Order: sequence, then structure tokens, then C-alpha cells
Amino acid sequence: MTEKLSVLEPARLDIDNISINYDSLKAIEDLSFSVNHGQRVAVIGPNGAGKSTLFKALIGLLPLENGKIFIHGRPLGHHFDCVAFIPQREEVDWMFPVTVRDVVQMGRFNSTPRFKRYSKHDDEIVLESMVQMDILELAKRPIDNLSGGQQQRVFIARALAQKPHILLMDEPFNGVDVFTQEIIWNLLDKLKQVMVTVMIATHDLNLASLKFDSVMLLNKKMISYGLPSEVFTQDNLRAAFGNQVIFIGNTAIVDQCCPKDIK
Amino acid sequence: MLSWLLTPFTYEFMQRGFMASVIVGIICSVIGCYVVIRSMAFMGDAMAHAILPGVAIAYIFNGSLTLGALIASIVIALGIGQLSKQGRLKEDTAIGILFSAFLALGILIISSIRTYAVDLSHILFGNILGVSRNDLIFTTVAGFIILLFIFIFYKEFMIISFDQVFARAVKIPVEVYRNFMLVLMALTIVASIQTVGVVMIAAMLVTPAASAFLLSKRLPAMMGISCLIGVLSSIIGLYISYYANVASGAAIVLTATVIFLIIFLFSPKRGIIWKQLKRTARTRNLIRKPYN
Repeated sequence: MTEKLSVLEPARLDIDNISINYDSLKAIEDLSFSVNHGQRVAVIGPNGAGKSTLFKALIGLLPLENGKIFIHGRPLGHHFDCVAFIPQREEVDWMFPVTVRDVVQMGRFNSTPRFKRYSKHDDEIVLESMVQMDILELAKRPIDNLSGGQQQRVFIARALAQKPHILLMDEPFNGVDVFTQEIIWNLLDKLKQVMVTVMIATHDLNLASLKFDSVMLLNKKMISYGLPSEVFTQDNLRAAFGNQVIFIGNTAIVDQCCPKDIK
Repeated sequence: MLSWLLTPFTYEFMQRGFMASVIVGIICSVIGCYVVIRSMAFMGDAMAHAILPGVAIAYIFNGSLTLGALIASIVIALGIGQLSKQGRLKEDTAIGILFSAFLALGILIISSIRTYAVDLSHILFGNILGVSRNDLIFTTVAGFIILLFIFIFYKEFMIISFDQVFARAVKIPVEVYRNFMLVLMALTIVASIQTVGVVMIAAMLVTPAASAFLLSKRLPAMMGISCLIGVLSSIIGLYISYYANVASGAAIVLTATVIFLIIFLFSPKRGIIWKQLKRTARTRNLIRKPYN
């Protein structure tokens, strides 16, 4: 039922008309899109637009009301680690008694048989992931005294240790230092070279228009999907953000401070 | 001194009592680590109290009291899971409801049995002098099984406790392991009833593990230290109980509490005295500097 796919086989993501309910509310409606190999996609939308829901569905955590998700042309569930998800940092207990290395090592969970220690190969991957995120010197530190940026890098290193073909990141730039942001961008460039597909949920319209191949504007339904220049029109942004978006000349400003009040 | 230490062991029931409480000290401390890091202390307490109706019903039907206790404890754990599933009720609310319901049911049944032979206080507070040969064998076997499973499924238990979303993403059946852990908890509790009693099991689950949490940065170390504290509390508590002629369960729990308080105050990592000393030293340096 489950099978390992070669790292060489590039990832392709096809979403066919999916709807997802969350707590009996419609979180995503009739969404269809596909992402080509090695593309970098920004997922943009107001709070509650279904960005996190979409990601959780892509790793098989949420049941689909209808529609289908294909990865490598095969339905979801045929793959072990080829999609890795980096949740927002607040979702785990950082007082938990594990070291940085322990967390990164979790990424190799499925590659290690029971009773066996992690193999040399696994160790190398874990080490390499930590080097990439510049947390090697933190390896033996307990996770309870890391900064926000360090926590984010630990999470990313764990996802890298899964050797994913598709990487989903939920607001990775939220509350992290400039140094961490730089490391993340370097990583994204490296991932592009090895054809890893990356989808990032973000609030930052500016980053999205500058650094991504394509942009998906989402508000429960697909508003627009394509090149940043095509997607970021005044009409599209209004459709996604409603009154939260203000235009000054050619600049769009999105006010995210009070998303609950405005519908 | 030596004879003072050895005197209790001249009685066979004391030998059995010591062995049983050492084993209980170990298993409670190990399972307790998960109870502490998963915030399940209240759940442990509820599962312990749920034993009461189980034992009473088993007594009426002439069944095995141990089995009755085990089933009741598992039933309440799964019941709490059902009530709080998908956020219909908060877990502590669900626990509050079922906890008191089971306790009330237990008392109701016991009060209706006129000829009840098992002393209620033994279930509530434990009776270490009454550990029979069979009790000891049961506790040993249960302890062995619990430790074995904790060892075999270490990675799964660790991952589901740390990050459920990740656990599900790497295809660990989170619900199955959660229920499995509850069963191991129930087994731990039932195996400990004889020595510490229903009322004080929560303390044995939480106190040594919480002390260890303050001292360690990794789960295996936490389990080791917790074990050490659990066993030490059991042994010291039993000596106190023997020489001061007080209830054994209470003596064990209070010993563990004293150890916890000492660690809470003096632990180098999170102890408050240590922090205070550092702070005063820093302030003193600040004050002194201008005069130098």
C-alpha cells in the first residue's frame, strides 16, 4: 500500500476539486490546481482562508468532503515521507524534554526499523539537515531555551531529514530573526536546484511578488493562481481580503490586525 | 545501624512489602514521566478512583478483583476520550464528570453490600502488610510488561506526546497509541493499589516524574532519575512507616514530596533558590561596580 519513491523522481502535485470541512464549517470549497516540479508557490489569503487547512489536507491529516489529491500522479496515501509539513511553532510544547538533535531525528522515523539504532545513513542525513539550518552547535541543547528563529530552524531541519519531494511551510517567517530568514531563503534556493516543490503560506505580499514563481490567492475558494504579476491585481486582492486591503497608488497594504470583525 | 536497617526484613510480609513497593516505585515513576509531560495527572487520578466500582462489582459477582479494577480503569479512560472527542467537551470537564460518577457508583455499591469483607480503607490507602505472594507475583509480572512496552514503543510514545500533527503525518496511528498508553497506565495503577492505595496513586505518578523533569533535559534521563526518586521514596517511606508506625502509602508519598521540594528549591536548572542567588549576585556586582 505504501511505497518509497525515488528521490530522483520529481514531485508533482495535482489537486482535483477538493472541499474540506473543519468543525462542520466549510474551510475549503471546490479547489483545483496543480504545481509543477520544483516550483515555489506562495499561498496568500486572510486569516481563516484555509491555508493551514489546505496543507494539513495535503499530508493526509484531514478527510476530504469530495475531490482528490494526487502526488506523483498517485492518490494520497501511497507515500510515506514525500510530503513534509512545517507547522507553526506554537503547535508544540517547547518545554518537552528532548534535545534539538532528538527533534531533527524524528524526521527519520519511518526509515528506521524497530529495535535498531539510527543507521549511519540516517545520522548523516540528520547531521546534514542541522548543518543546513545552522543549528549543529545547538544539537545537544534542550529545546526549552531556543529563540523563535532557532525553533523554526529546528522544525525545518526535521522536515529536511524526511527528505521530502514537496515541502509545505506554514508562516515560516513569522516572528523570526533576520539571520533565520536569510538561512531559510538560502535553503529555498538550494531546494529549487534539486527540484523540491515548496509551498509557503505567508502574509507578506511583497515577498510573495518578488521571490516566488507563482502565487495562489485563496479565500476558501481559489481567487487566482499564476504569476505574481497576473495575480496581484486590485480586483483579486479585494476579492481575497475585502476591506482589509488599501491601495495607495500601485502599493497594496493589507491590514491584518482585526480580521475577525470584517467579513 | 545495620541491625536497625535489617530488622524490618526479619518478617516475611515486610520483605514482600518492600519488594512490591520498590517495583511500584519504578513503574509509577516511568509511566509518570508521560503523565507529567502529557499533562495527564488529573486523568491518572480519575483512573485510580474508577477502580472502586470495578472492585465492588467484581466482588458481587465473585470475580477477580484485580480484573474488575483493570476493566473499570480502562473504561473510564476510554469514556473520557469519547466525551472530549473533537472538542465537544474540554478534557478536564469530561474527567470531572466521570471521575465523580465512578466514585459515587463505587460508594453506592459498597454501601449496599452488607457483608463486604474487603476493608474499604485498604483499597483507599493501601495495605503494604497485606501483600500476598500472589499479589507480589502479579505486581512483578505487570511491572515487567509495562516496562517492556514502554521500551519497545519508546519512539512512538515520544513522538505522539511531543507533536501529534507530525506523528500523524509520518503515519503513526496516534489514537491507537494513546489508548495503548492509557491501558498501560491502568495496569500501573492496578498494580500499585495494594501498596499506595487509590487516593495516593496520582502522587506516585506525578511527584517523582515532576522532580526528574526539573533535573533532566532528555526523556530517557528523566525516566532514570524519576525511577531513582520513586524507589528511594518507597524505601525511605517504608522505614518511616515501620518505625513510626504510620500508614505506608502516606509515608511514601510524603517522602517523595519532600524530595520534590528540595529539588524544586535547589535544582541548578530550574530551582528557585539558585535563580535567586544568581540574581542577588548580579545585583551586588552592579552595585559594587561604581565604587571600584
